[in-house]
This record gives sequence, structure tokens and C-alpha cells, in this order.
Amino acid sequence: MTLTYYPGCSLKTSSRFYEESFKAVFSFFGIEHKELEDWSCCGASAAHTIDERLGYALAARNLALAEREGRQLFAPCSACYNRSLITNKGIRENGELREEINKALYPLQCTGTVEVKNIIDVLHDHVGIETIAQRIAYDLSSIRVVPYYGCVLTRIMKMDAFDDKEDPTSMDSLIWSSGAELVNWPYKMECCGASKTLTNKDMTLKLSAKIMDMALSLGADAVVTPCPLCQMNLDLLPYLGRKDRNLPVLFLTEILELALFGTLKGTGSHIIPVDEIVKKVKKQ
Amino acid sequence: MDNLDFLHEVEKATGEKVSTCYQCCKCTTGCPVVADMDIYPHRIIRYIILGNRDRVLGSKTIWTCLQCVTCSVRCPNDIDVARVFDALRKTSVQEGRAAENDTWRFDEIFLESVQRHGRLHEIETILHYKLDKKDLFSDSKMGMGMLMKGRLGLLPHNIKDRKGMKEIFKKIEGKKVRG
Repeated sequence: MTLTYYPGCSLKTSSRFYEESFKAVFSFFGIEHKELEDWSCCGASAAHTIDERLGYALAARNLALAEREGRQLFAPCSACYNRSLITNKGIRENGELREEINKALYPLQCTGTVEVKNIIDVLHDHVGIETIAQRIAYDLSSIRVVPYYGCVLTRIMKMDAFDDKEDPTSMDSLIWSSGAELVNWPYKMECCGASKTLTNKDMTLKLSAKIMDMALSLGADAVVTPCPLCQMNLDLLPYLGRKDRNLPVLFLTEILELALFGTLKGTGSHIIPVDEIVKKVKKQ
Repeated sequence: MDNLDFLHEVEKATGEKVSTCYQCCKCTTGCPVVADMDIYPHRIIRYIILGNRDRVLGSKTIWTCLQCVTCSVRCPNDIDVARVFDALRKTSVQEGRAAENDTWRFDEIFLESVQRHGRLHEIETILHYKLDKKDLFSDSKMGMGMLMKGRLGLLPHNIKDRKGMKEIFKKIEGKKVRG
């Protein structure tokens, strides 16, 4: 089966190396995907803040395009996933909303019937942790990582989330299957302050630094996240004004890249250097 | 005399049963930015119930909120507190009482870029916001750093159906109501 892939703006600009990374992992495991034709911005946190219906309409445009393509829409960005999931359910269950949004989308039509999937879903459903554990070629056992989910991936109200809203574990098991040493910590879900990076830098600095400090105090070697906004905020810490030491911030698929290939395609895109981590990888 | 108008207005706009709040303070204790707020989240809810419109809509708190949804997830009465704050912001802007407008202005500029290109053009949005704030150079080091790492695209990402995108905005904005 071929997944319909919705990149969202991040995976084409600020987190282009996330796209390269998941593509390398997907092709290793034979997961086929096709980019959604003429996709647009999901509205992120901006659209529904200004006008709730605009938020629905922007996300619904992509869902409508996806409905023509196939059954599953794969959105690796946590914000795109969140907005698409909320909109999909709203359109499916609320006839009045569906009618109103479809008027705005015309000639496109959205019925809210595609299945919206995030990166963890796809890796669990299409690969599985047993397969990952069997196929790894490099030894990551000397790398201690903390799993960082961020707030928007599982905290979705009025909906059964794919994992626990406060204590998710699905990414933990994927990291575990990569062979890296998984550190349990209480900051899985702490907010990095992504919505204020430009408007209130000091607040973002304070929140992101708190997460980094906790990771450092636990003796971690890296923070691992599935969210492009979380990755960017933590990676920007040196520019946000932090003088203390920082740990590299890897995407979930990058830890798998290390376990499968021993290297990272996106080494040069990280602001906090990742060389130390890559050096710790040993051939099995 | 009791005045329940504001409570009913907020409950209608959000679909949240704000009146079920029994002041357990869970929203406040879990909030990551409570130290920067002028009124604690549970008190905002209480002021809504008491009908203290001015205090709520003029508060800094509703603009400090990051929409991380921790409060909503933990509320024992299932009040989506973050959603309530989101609706309060809209009302406070409509009535010209917003205690700060940076995030609102940024979101507007963000959407202008999406309306124009179909996708976010990051550099354009950042520069537009910075010009608006008359503070063009404060983050130039960060911007350069991101450019060097290939994390900021110089060119916009236009979609094919830009006309259709503009139509969507036009149709939605044609009948603006409170969100």
C-alpha cells in the first residue's frame, strides 16, 4: 500500500532533513509514499486562533485532496497531524460544519473519512518494533536518549488519542527497538514554547532551556523528538541566548537512521552539533 | 445582583461547561507559564462565572497562554480551558481590549503569507513581522544561522491553485463571526 504523504511547510523548509531522514528509513523498510498533490498550509496554530472556521477550512482543503488519493494521510509534523485530525473528526461528525466548510472549499469536497496518521503510527503499524529490532546493524547501546513528545502530538481534546495524553510510551518502544539506552524522565510532554519563538523569545528560551537542563541532569546524550517545532526550538537554544551546554536534538527517524546506517543524512542541518553522537555509534 | 450574561456568552461561544468549575486549581498548578500571568487560570474561570467581563478580557493571562493544552487535559470537569482562553482572545481583540497584540499580529501576518502563496513563506513572514514591530535586527544572528544551515528558504512556495486558496479566504472572511 502507498501512503499519501502530507509534508506541511516545515518538512520542505526548516526541517527538510527530517524528510530526508524518514525517506531513508521508509525505503529501507519498503514503505511506499506519494506526496499529496498541491497540498497547502494546514493553518498551524495561527488560523484557528484568528478564526476557527478558517482553521477548519485550511486543514480540510488537504483532507479533501487526500480523499481522492487513498485511505491514509501521513502527516509527520505534529501540528499538521493535530489540525488534520481535529478537522477530519469535526467534518465527519458535524453536518452543519461540513456543509459550511465545503461551501468555502468548492469545488473540492471533504467528508472527513481519511485516516490521519503520524510518524509513530506509521512506524508501529507498517514496520513494528520487532522488525526494527531484528534489522538494526549498528550498536547504539552507549547512547542515552530522552524521548520528547512535545505538547500537540497527543494532547488533543474530545478525541481518543493514539497514545496516553499525559504519559505516552509509543515512541519509547520505537527508540528501545533501535537499541539506544532509553532514559525515563518526567519532561516527555513539557511545552517548548513554540508559539512564542518570535513574539516572546525570552519565554521560549526559559521553557526550552528547562527541558535541556533536565536532559543534561539525567546524563542523556541526546533528546529525541517526532515534532519539527520542538526540534527547532531546542536546536535554536544557542541563538535564543543560552550560554550553557546543549545536547543534540534528533528526530525520531534519525535515531533509526543511526541504528540502520550508522550515519545521519542531516548532520549539517543541526545547529547543535551531532558529531559526538555519531562517533558513539559502533558496528555490531 | 448576579449577572450570568458573560458566562452564557462564553459557554455558547466555546461549547464548554465553564460553570462546572469547582476551583480545584489543577489548571493553574500545571501551567508552564503561570509565573508570567497576571491572573491565575482558575481565577479567570471564576471571574467568567461571576460575570467580571472587564477583568477577564483585559487580562494579560489570556495572551500569556501558549495553548499547550495541559490545563484542558487535566481538568476533572472536562473544561477545555485552553479553548476558553482562545475564545476570550478573539473577543478581547474584537472589542479592542487586548492587553498585548504581538501574537495576534504575528498570526495575521502568517495567514497573509498563506493566503498569498498557499504555503507559509517563512522569511517573508518573519521580515514582515519584524518591520511591523520596527525591530528588524534583533534576531539577525539567529536568522543568518538558520540560513547557513539551510533551514530558511529564500523563495516562496506557491501552490498551483492559488486562486482557489484566495477564494477560501474570501468566502470565510465574507461572514466573519466570533470563533
